[in-house]
Amino acid sequence: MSRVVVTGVGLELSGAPGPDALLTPAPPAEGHVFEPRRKLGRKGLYGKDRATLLALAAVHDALGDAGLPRAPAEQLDADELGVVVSSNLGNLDTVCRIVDTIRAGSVADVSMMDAPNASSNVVASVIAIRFGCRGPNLMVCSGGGGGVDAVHLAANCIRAGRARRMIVCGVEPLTETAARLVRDSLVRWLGDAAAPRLADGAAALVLEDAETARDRGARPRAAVGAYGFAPDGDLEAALAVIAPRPPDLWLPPGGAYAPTRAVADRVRGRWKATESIDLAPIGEASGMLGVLQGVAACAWLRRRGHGIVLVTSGATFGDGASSLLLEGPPW
Amino acid sequence: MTRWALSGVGMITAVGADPASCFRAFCEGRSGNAPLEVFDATRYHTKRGYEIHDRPDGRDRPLRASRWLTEAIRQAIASAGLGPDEVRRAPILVGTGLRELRSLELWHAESAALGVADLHFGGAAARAPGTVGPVVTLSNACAASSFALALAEDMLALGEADVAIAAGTDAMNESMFGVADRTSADGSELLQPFDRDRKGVILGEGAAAVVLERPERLAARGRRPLAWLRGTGVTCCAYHETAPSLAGVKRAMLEAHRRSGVSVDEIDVLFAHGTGTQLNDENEVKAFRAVFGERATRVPITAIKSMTGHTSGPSGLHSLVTAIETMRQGRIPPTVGFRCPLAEGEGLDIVHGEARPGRPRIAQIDAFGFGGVNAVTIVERSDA
Repeated sequence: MSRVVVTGVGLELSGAPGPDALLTPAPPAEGHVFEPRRKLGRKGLYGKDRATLLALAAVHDALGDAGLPRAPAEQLDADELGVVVSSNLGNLDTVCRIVDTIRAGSVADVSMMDAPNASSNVVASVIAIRFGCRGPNLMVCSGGGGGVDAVHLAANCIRAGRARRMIVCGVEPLTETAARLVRDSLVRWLGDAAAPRLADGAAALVLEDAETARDRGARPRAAVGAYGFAPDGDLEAALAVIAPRPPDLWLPPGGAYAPTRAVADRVRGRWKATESIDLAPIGEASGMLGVLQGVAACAWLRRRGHGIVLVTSGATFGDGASSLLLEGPPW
Repeated sequence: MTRWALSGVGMITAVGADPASCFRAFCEGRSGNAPLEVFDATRYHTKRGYEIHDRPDGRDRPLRASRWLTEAIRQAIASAGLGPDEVRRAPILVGTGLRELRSLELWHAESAALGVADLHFGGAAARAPGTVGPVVTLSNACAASSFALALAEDMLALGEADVAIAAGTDAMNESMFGVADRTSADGSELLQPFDRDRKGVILGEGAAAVVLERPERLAARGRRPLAWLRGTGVTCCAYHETAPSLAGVKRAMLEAHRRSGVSVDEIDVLFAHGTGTQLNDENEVKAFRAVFGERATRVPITAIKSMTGHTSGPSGLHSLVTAIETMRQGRIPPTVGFRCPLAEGEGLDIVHGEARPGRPRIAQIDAFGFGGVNAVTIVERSDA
């Protein structure tokens, strides 16, 4: 079975000027304004919602980092370049706005600009159109663990011969509807009425078949390893299966929430030599988290030169937890 | 030649609560087309839908798609003869166009209770007896459940699992109904696939599920498959957010044939995507003709959306479960409401009027979604 490697990373996240900043995660900067035209230019952005623009910016960076073209006409093996996006909160505001519009008037008042955004897979299809990706195109909306699921499914597409390269993007926009739903969810889950801070951004990885990467002289950052899933509550047992030896670094889930943090503390208690980077300070990252953790893992591996990283996301709001091993050289 | 066992099926649509009753309704040409039950029809041009009748008081309620999904998975596991212990770790891939966005609309506009975990189907899928996941929710528009099937097949091929469940579910919501309405000519009353006078898509709802199993494992259980999965080809048009491209759709068909190791001469029936829109039907027919060449006029074609409406996420598996029943019972359901073919479809054999006897050996199932996501599946009859 072909090995799958990460050959590029990208980030568009308030509070993190680049991937290295994730190694010391911090809350978003006050007054940060996302300016999509800075990376994306002026054309083709009209009518795109916030999640789409954030995602395009992160993927723009990841393709550049991987040394791959961005223009569809120049794209390498476009039929074999696919996209997987993980996002849960992306189009919630659009959907609610359309309902308000129809109920206040009629369907004739609905803006056709909103039409594509009513479908949850708009981000994945816009990435494909913008960068020329004609391979498998997937939108994962699996809750907190979705980001890790997305990386795993993308790797599987390469292993199964459906693609040579896959762009993986996690994105969650800060919108009023998303914030309101997450706050309601927190009340239902923990009885906590505090308004949680939402992360606002996107992270991207380029995955590639290892041989294909070597043939074009691309520099791998990590190899994608085993995947594991734990239904809510069973995290410790699941981690023991996927990582029988403690990893060198663990990126745990849900540090902002007491019950998830408690489980993570128990794991850390057993893995005494394992470093831990909790991305909780950047805010609730939902479906983006697993991909963000992947970007952080690659930054850590580049600094250290070698090691085994385990990323885990989910285990919040009643969701199961998804985990994935990312292995540094030598392979 | 690799093939995987389809060992169990489940299905719910506007015309039936399980595969047998759906298929009986299809063969009788019974459609689920009816006046809108809950949406305020005065606000739309289209006043009809293909809804499931589980709101006798006329008031909507959240999480219908989740409940149908649990039931469809339960049916599939039962029809596969699998006990809870045997499906405990089976990955479940759920394809949906709208996940629980209807429930989000009710939360937003009518104060229904909802949390982020309710938007996806991790909980609902794991409520089928014995299952714990992993559960992945794929929000891949109208091709979603066929994509779910492709990913399930890959998991088996890569040795990740011996049994996996591919499923799909969708409940109509106001926003997508509105968007579909805005793109229809002047208010469709009927979803008429491939008809010259077709007026556009109308939404339906429902759920479907199939159990995919390693053949040796099924044989070891002393059972035969309901059908064989030969493979699914997936592509992306990368052309337009809502309109398909001929190249992307053709490539999905060719990729399906390549992965399945079949030639067009072996394909005996097409279960079309057939949404009744100007764009899809024309594009699908052109792609079909381009790929099948002279064979195109000799392959019977049917489109069950004429009876189920556009069920979106589950529609690929709705067609697949129907194709399996066709192979087992020897009848191809008609395309209801079809009178006269679109110009590009002249000479094609579109089954209509009544169900046609026949036991095809190899079926092609098309699913093409918003955003240019394309999935074509090849299924083979089990001579069991």
